[in-house]
Amino acid sequence: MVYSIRRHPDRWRAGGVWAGLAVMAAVLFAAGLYLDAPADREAVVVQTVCRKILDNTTEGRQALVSSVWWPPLPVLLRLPLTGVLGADGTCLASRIVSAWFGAAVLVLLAGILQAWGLGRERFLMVFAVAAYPPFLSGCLNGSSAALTVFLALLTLYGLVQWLAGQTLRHLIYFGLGSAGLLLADFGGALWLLPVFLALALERLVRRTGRQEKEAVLILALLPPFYAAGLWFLMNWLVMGDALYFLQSLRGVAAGDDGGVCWSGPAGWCGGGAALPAAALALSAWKRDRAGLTLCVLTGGFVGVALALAFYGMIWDAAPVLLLCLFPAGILCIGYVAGKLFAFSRSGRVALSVIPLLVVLCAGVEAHFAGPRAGPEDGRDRDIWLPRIERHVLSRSEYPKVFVCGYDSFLLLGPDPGPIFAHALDFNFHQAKEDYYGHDLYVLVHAPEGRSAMDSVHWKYPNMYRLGHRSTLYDRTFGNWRLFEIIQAPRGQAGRGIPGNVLGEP
Amino acid sequence: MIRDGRSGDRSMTPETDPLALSRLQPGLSARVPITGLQKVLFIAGSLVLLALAVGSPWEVARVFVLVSTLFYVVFTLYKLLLVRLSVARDAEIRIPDEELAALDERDLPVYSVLVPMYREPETVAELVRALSALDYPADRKDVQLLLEEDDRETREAVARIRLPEGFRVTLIPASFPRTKPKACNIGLANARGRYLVIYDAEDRPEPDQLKKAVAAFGRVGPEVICLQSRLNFYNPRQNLLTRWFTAEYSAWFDLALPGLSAMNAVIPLGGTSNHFLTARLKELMGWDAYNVTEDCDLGVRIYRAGYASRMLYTTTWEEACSSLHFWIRQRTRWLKGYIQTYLVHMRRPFRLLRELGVGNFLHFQVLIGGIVFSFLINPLYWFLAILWFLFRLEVLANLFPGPVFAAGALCLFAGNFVFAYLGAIGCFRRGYFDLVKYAVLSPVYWVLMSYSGWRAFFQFFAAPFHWEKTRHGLFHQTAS
Repeated sequence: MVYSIRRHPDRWRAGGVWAGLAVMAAVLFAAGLYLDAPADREAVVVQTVCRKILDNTTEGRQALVSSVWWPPLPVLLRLPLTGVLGADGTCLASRIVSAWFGAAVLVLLAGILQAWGLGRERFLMVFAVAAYPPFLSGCLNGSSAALTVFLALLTLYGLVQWLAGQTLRHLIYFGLGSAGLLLADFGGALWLLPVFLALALERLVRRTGRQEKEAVLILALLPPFYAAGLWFLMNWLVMGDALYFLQSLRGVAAGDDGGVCWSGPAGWCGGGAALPAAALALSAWKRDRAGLTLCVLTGGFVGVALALAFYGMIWDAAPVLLLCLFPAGILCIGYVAGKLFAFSRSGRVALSVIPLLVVLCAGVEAHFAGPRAGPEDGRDRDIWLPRIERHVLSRSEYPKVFVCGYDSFLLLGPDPGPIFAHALDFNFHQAKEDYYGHDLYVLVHAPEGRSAMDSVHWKYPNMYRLGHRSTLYDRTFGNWRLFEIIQAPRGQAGRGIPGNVLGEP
Repeated sequence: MIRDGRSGDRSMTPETDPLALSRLQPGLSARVPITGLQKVLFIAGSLVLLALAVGSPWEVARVFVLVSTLFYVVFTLYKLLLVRLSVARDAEIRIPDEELAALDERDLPVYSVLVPMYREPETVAELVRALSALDYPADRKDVQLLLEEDDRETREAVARIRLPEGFRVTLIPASFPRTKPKACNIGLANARGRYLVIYDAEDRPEPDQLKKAVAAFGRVGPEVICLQSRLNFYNPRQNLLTRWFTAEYSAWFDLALPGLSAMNAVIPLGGTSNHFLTARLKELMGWDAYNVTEDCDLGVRIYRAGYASRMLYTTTWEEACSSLHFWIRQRTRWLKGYIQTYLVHMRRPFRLLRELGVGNFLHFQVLIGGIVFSFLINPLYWFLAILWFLFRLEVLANLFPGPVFAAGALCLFAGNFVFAYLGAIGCFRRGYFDLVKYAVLSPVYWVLMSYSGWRAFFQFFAAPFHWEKTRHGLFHQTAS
C-alpha cells in the first residue's frame, strides 16, 4: 500500500458524507418551507430566548438555564444562526438546525448500519425513518426532536460498540452524546440513568484492572457530569440558586394533555416497540451482551415514557422518547441482521421491509385519525395580546404587565414593548420596587403541559386558580389569566412620572 | 574515531557550513530575530493601539475581546478536528511486523544517527546501550555523538567506554551560536547515511524504529522527506509535573500530530526522532543554527520547499522533566522558539502564503502563532473570569456584548473542558489509565505554561539566542 499525501480516499469519503448531509438538510429545510409546516411552539420560544441572549438581557440568561423543560443546548445551537438570520415568526434558524440534525440522524443511521455489515438495503431502513411521520414533522417544524434523536442514537451506538469492541472512539461518542442529551432533553436525560447503569455494570463484570475501570468511567461519565455541573453553576450565577432549574420537577398538576402523545401514534408506537422486542429475543438466543444491552435500552425509551406518564408529565417529553424508539428499534434490527446472524442479502432486504411496513401503518392510521388539532399558542399573540393591551390601557394610564413563564416568549416575542415584561422568575416584592408608580398586573398561563412547570406555579401554587394574597383577579383571556397586583396606597405625586411610561425603571 | 567539525572556514561549501542557512538565505534564519520592518510595524502598531486605547478604551478592549474570543472558538474546534482526524486510517504510517520481518538486511541502507550532547555525562552509558539495541545492522549504522569541544566531562565519559561498531564522536567547536542545531548541522555535513535521524541523549527509541522508517520511506511518495515518530516518557509517574507533561505529550504526539499528518498539514516537528532523507535535508541546508526550536522551524521549511512530513507509528521514550525549575526553562525555550519561527516566516507573509497554500498558511497561523498567543492571553481571561465570579463586576459586561458573551462562555466552559478531556483521551490511548484523572486536572498545568509563555515573550527581546538547557538524568538520579 502506498501512502500518498496528495490523495486521501478517506477525505474524499468524508467529503461525500458531508456533502450528502448538506444536501439532505437542504432538502428537509426546503420541504418545510414549501409545505409551509407551522413552526413548533418550542421553535418560537427558543428563538425568542436566543434573541434575548443576543441582546444581552437578564431574561435571556435566565431563560437559557432556569428550567429542565427548556434545556440550554437547543438554544445554544440556534444562537449563531439567530444572530445572522434574526428571530422572526418563520423561525428560520430553528428550521435549519432541525433539518440539519434530521439529516444527521439519517447519515448516522446509515453509517452505523454499514459498520454493522449491512449493504444497500440499509437505505431502505434509513428511508423508513425519513418517511416516519413524527420524525419528518420534527425535522420540518424547527423543534429539537431531531437533535434529541441524534444524540440518543449516538449514545446508544457508542455504548454498544464499546461493549462489543472496547474501542476508545466509541467511548468518546458515548460520553459526548450523553452530555449533549443531558443538555437537550429532560426525557432523554432520564433515559441516561439506565444507560449509565449498563456501563457501570459492564465495568463491574469485565475483568480489567481497577485503574482501567476508573479511566473508562472518567472518560465516559465526565462529559455528562461536567455538563450537569455547569448547569448547576450557571443557575447559581444567574438565578442565585444552583438547584433552581430542578425546582420545576416538583409535582405540579400536568393538566389533561396526557393523552395527546398516545392517541395519534399508538400504531407506530406498537410497531416501533416490536422491533427491539424481536431483536431482544434473537440477542438472548445468541447470548450477545452488546445486542441485549442495545435492545433493553431501546425498550428503556418506553419505560421512561411510562414513568413520566405515571407522574403526569407525559405531555411533552414522551413524544420525543417514543420518537427515539423507532430509529433505535431499527438499530436493533440492523445489529441482529448484520452483526449477530450475518443474514443473506435477501434476508436483510426482507428485514428492511419491516420498518417500512410500520411506517405505512402509521401513515394509514394518521390518515383515518384525521388531522390533529394544531397548537393554540400561535393564536394567543394575534388574538389575545391586543385585547389584553386594550384592557389594561383602559384600566390604567401607566400599566405594567408581567407575563410569567416561557410562554411569555411565545406571547410577546423578543420585544415586549413598553407595557409588557417577560418574567421568568416573578417576584411580587421585586416587581413593586422596580416599577414603583405603575399599575402592575401579572398574566399567568394555565398550568398545562410544560407551562405547569414554570416557576410562577411552583413558587405560588394555585396562582392560576385562586390568585395570590397580593393580587386581585381581573379577567381571563383564553388560557391566560390577568391579576392586578395590590400595592400600598400612595399619594398623587407618586402616581407615575409623565414620560416614564415608555421607559424602564 | 574523532572528527573535528570546524565551522566558519572560508573554504566551506553550503553543505558543510553549519551556518549556511543564515548566510545564504538570511530571510529564513532567526539570526536577525526581528527585522527592521517588523520593528517599525510593531512599534507603529503599538503606538496606534495606545492612541486608540487612550481615546476610546472600551472600544479597543471590546475589539480585543472579540478577536481573542473568535480565536479561542477556532482553536477549540481545530483541536477537535485534529483529534477526529487522528483516528483516520492514514493518519500515521504503520508498518506491520510481518513487513519488518520480510526486510532483507543486506538491502538496508546506511542510517545516520545524530546525538547532540552537552554536559550530560550521566546519560552516556545508557544512551550507547539504547542505540546499540537498535535492530539495525551495525555496519549500516552511522552514529555520531556530537560533543562540544569544551565539554570535558561528557567527552571524558565517552572516552571511558568502548564505543561499539558504527559509533563515532564528532567534536563541535566552541563558537557562536552555541546551539543544538549548529551541532546537528555539523553532524549532517559528516553524515554518511541515506537516511538520518536525530535523537537526544536521554532517548530510548523502540528497537525497530530505524527499520520501520526505512520501510515507511519506501511506501511514501518522493515529496515526503521527513517522518516524525511519536514521543513519550519513560518516567510518567515520577511526580505530578511529569504526569501532566505525559498527558500533554500523549495528546500532542498521539492525537494532534497524527491529525495534522492526516490533513497533510505543516507538522511542527518534535526536537527528536525526526527521520530525514539526508540528501533532501542537505538541500534545505539543515537546521537554522539561530533558532531555539529549530525542529519546528524545519517542519515549516519542509513544506515551504514543497516537501512534506508524515507521522510514523513508533515511539521514542524520553525523560520527562521532573523539576519545575528546569521544566519552566525548557518550556520558555520552546515558546521563544515558536515566536522566533513565527516572526521569521511571517517576514514575507504573501510569499509564505504562496509557498504553503491557503490551508497550510492557516495551519501555520493557528499552530505556531496561535499557541503562543493563547498562552499569553489566557491569564487575562482567567483574571476576568475570577473577577466576575467573585465580585460580579457589571462593568465587565461592557466588554462582552451578547454574541461575544455567548462565544466567550462557550470557550470558558466547553473549550477548557475539551482541552482537558483531550489530555485524558491521550493518556487512555497510550494505556496510561492511571494518568487519566490527572489529565482532567491539567488546567492547573496551563498556568505554568502561561507563565513560561510570558517569560519566553520577554526573553525573546532580551536574549533571543539564549539556549536554556534542559537538565536530563534527574530520573535516574532519583531512581538510584
